[in-house]
Amino acid sequence: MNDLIAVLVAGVAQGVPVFVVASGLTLIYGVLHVLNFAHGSFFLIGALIVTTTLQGPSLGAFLGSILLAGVGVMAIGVLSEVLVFRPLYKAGSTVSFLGAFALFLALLGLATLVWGTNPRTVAYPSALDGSFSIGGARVGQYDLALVAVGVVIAAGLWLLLTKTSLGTRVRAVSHDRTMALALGIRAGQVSTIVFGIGAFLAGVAGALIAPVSSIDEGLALSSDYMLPAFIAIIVGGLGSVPGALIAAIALGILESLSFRIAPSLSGFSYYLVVAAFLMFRPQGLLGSAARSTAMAR
Amino acid sequence: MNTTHDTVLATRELNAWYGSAQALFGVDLEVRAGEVIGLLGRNGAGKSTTFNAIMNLQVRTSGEIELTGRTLAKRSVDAIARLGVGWVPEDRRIFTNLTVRENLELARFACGDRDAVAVDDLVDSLPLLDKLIGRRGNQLSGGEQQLVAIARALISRPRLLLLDEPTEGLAPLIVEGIATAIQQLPEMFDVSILLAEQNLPFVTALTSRVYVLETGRVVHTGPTDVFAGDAELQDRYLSISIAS
Ligand SMILES: Nc1ncnc2c1ncn2[C@@H]1O[C@H](COP(=O)(O)OP(=O)(O)OP(=O)(O)O)[C@@H](O)[C@H]1O
Ligand SMILES: [Mg+2]
Repeated sequence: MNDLIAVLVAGVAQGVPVFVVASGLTLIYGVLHVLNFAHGSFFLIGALIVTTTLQGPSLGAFLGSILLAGVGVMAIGVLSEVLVFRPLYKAGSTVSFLGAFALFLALLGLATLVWGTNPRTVAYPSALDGSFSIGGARVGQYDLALVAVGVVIAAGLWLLLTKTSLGTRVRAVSHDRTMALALGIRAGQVSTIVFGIGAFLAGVAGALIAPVSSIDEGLALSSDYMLPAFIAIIVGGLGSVPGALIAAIALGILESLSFRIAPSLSGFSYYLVVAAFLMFRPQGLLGSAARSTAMAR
Repeated sequence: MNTTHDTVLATRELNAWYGSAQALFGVDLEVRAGEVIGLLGRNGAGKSTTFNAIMNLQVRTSGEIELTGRTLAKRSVDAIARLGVGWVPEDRRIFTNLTVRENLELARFACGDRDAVAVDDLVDSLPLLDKLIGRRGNQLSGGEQQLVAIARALISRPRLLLLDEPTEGLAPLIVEGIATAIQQLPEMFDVSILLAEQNLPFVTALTSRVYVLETGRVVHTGPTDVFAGDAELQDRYLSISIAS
């Protein structure tokens, strides 16, 4: 029982950065129909920004660095959308995907140019460097903080998407871009904003894992975060933020459980899940079958 | 272009192509303030293509298109919407992932320099909307979708409404309701309407003039009652006729 709590918290904490990355990916996919492969380098750069901007062990300094990482990566994201994706938009999603891949490599190169290739590490903020005992189980303070951050970001995205006019426009453009345009919506502007939000989230996610991971270019394709994020948007249903949330957290818990119960399956369980979904429910948990037909048109 | 001051829409020598296939040939149309004008023709005659050309959707065009004296040709579809064209497509295209209220609110961004109609005022004007407003877009019947699509197009106070076969697939009783709603629109919203239809009784009830298209050309134009009384014209250009 104690074990179960520890496993659950660790699993959710593992799932939170994955969700934060995946939510941006899936939003961008919904609006631009681009699988933004460059998200991996956004994520890495977010973590790297923390390694250079973090001043001291205080929680305030850490939060400040997270914000800088988010805003810095958002700026890169907005520039990317305007300079790379906008010109490619008319050429279709295959070309856009290649553009995303090129951007991924270019940003990765840029990151090694600026930060070098030596792995970096960041200390936990001192206030979160320890563990609690919950009902006898040891639970890391930072893990608990990640869970809280996940709740805040999920709630923030929900509010943004369902309670603001921007959110209504985002949902409309991702459902039927042409009709949204025909109602006078500036879909291009919506795309840029969504790309900025997605990049911001990737930067924040990178910053969040800075204390728990060694930071080197391997992060950009890491099997702990980026691959699960891509899997989460497929399993959750492309374009669905709630789907990405459920899938990322479930995958985190699954991974954490399998690590405890059947360590030989750990790191492999994701692929079983995604294979099962691709076979039996290719539109994902909350994806609509209508979306795939709309895309085929 | 040589048009009178109350011309809302004018096209001259309008040609349109899907890829290399030409679908419109020299179409001249004029819609004046407050008018409801019919656009008739069989399946494939070019009615929807005319709307696509006006909206700059899917087709490449040549020729002139003016809305209240301003050139539309070559503008982007969102700019054309903001200049004051409301488009109600054949398949309605309600956002099924939004509520009806959100479908309507959304269109308030399309206003350009005009003031949007408040959603609640719109509901007052079209009372049938009242019971739909809280539903999701995927919980509407065909007739309800049509009504919401029309309302959505009106929110931004367009000068011109393009209605593409609003009665298609609807039961007669519902068609009557839609006709009553459309009838009130020009006065209520200061809008002119171009109505693409194959349902001649519906067109007869609503429009003052008609243009008849065949294979992308205007083959007849004149007062609706003349066309409605001429069985030979109808046989030639429509699938169904009403005059005996
Ligand atoms: N997307 C498209 N690509 C290529 N050709 C098209 C396309 N849409 C329509 N066409 C062709 O253009 C011509 C005019 O079609 P259009 O849809 O405008 O007719 P319509 O009068 O609206 O017919 P309906 O009453 O069936 O809606 C037809 O020959 C049609 O095959
Ligand atoms: Mg048509």
